[in-house]
Amino acid sequence: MPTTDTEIHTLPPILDRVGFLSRCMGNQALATKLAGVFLGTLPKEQQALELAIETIDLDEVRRIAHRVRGTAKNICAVPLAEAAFLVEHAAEQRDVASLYAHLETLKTQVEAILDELASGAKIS
Amino acid sequence: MNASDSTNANGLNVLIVDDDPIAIEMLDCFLQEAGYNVEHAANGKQALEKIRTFSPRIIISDVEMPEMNGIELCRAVRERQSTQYIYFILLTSHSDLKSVLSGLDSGSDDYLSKPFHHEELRLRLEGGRRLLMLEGRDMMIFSLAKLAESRDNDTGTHLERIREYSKVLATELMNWPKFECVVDAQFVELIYLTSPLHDIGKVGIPDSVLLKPGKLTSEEFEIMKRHTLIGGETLFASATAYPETGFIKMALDITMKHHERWDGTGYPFQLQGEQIPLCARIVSIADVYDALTTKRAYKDAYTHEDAVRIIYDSRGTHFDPDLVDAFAIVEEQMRAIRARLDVTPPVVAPIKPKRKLLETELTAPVFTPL
Repeated sequence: MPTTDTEIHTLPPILDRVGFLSRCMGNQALATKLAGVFLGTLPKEQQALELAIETIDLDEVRRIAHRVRGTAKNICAVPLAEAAFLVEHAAEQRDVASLYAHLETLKTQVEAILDELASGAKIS
Repeated sequence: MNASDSTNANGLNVLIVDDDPIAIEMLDCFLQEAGYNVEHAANGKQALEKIRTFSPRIIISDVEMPEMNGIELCRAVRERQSTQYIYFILLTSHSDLKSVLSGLDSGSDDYLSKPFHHEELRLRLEGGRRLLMLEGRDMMIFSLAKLAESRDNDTGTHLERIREYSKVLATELMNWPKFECVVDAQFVELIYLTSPLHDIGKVGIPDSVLLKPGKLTSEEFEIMKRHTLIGGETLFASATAYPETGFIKMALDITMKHHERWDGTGYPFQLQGEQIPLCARIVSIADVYDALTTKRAYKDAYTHEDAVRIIYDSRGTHFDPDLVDAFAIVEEQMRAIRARLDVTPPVVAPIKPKRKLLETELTAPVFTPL
């Protein structure tokens, strides 16, 4: 629970680089490799998600969002994981109206994390 | 490193099953650094294919996957006829109770939340390794005992019966106030595990003595008696080399002392009464009952009733009186075990004329002649 004003107003970073590197056991090469894999797969996941939403295949939406959430947690991209969770939850609840709204949030987060990774900043 | 060798020095074969390539990469890197041999599959169906050639001892599987999910995979693994147990860990971001119960109900051994914590995964894998080692240990102990038994050509399923008799007797003693501090579920499990080793020292007895169909001379009998010490020395060496393996203590007691007699006339140490460890006293009675009810090349099998009578008659001389009383309570269970595991082995030694039971002719114990 946040206990100070500073903590309350501190949003989690798009990518927690220190946390990510720690999850890679300090292995810089692994972190770079995984970031590359993530950059390659995330746009495809987003495309698949949009298609599933278009066809109202809610089970598929839930599955993809679930996978994106897991991946995002693994690389310590907390805002993306949270956005993916909202989509997953809406699909699970068959709440199509909320789904569209959460998809927009997710797309924003995908864009942000892709920018962050593509900026080439070293993960350290 | 040979990926299909699941027992190499560096580690076990681990199969990762996940449709998330990043999760696979992370686990792969962590497990390889920890010394495991790693392969991966993207879903349950691929995993089942992989199992055919890779022979994993541990599977770490995601739950949510296309084609076949982790719970379905776990069920399929458990339904396979496999010679080796596979330790199954479900790894998923589902953490609600329903998912946990569903995972465990499918036969998984452990359940971890995503994203995994390295130290937690390491410790859970250690738990899995310990369990797999226990499986290997039990199998090796029995194999060792069977190997020793294989030199003695007319004992058939003796070892299987001995461990069952010992277990029944020990289980009965769990209910006796006098033994409740000593005999618990672990004691019962250990005696079941170690009693087949009782005659392991016979590997060191020459064929001319071990396989002699007729009466042993007093010199030959002295040689035969040495099997208790030979077995004891072997197990003592193991106990010294691996002091953390507690079960060897019981194996040692049984092997060295199951020919001791309550009245102090047994061998090799002429121990008396409670100087003889309880486990050895239990195996002694089990061994004699089995020897009496087993047909040999030189004698017919005694009936259950005759064997029971002989054991009753030896109360307080050969056997611990309490154990004979316990035997009286469970004798019908002993008869049932005898009937269930009564595989009469082919007789290969020349058949001698039927005659009175000789002291030295029982596989087991020095025994009061009829």
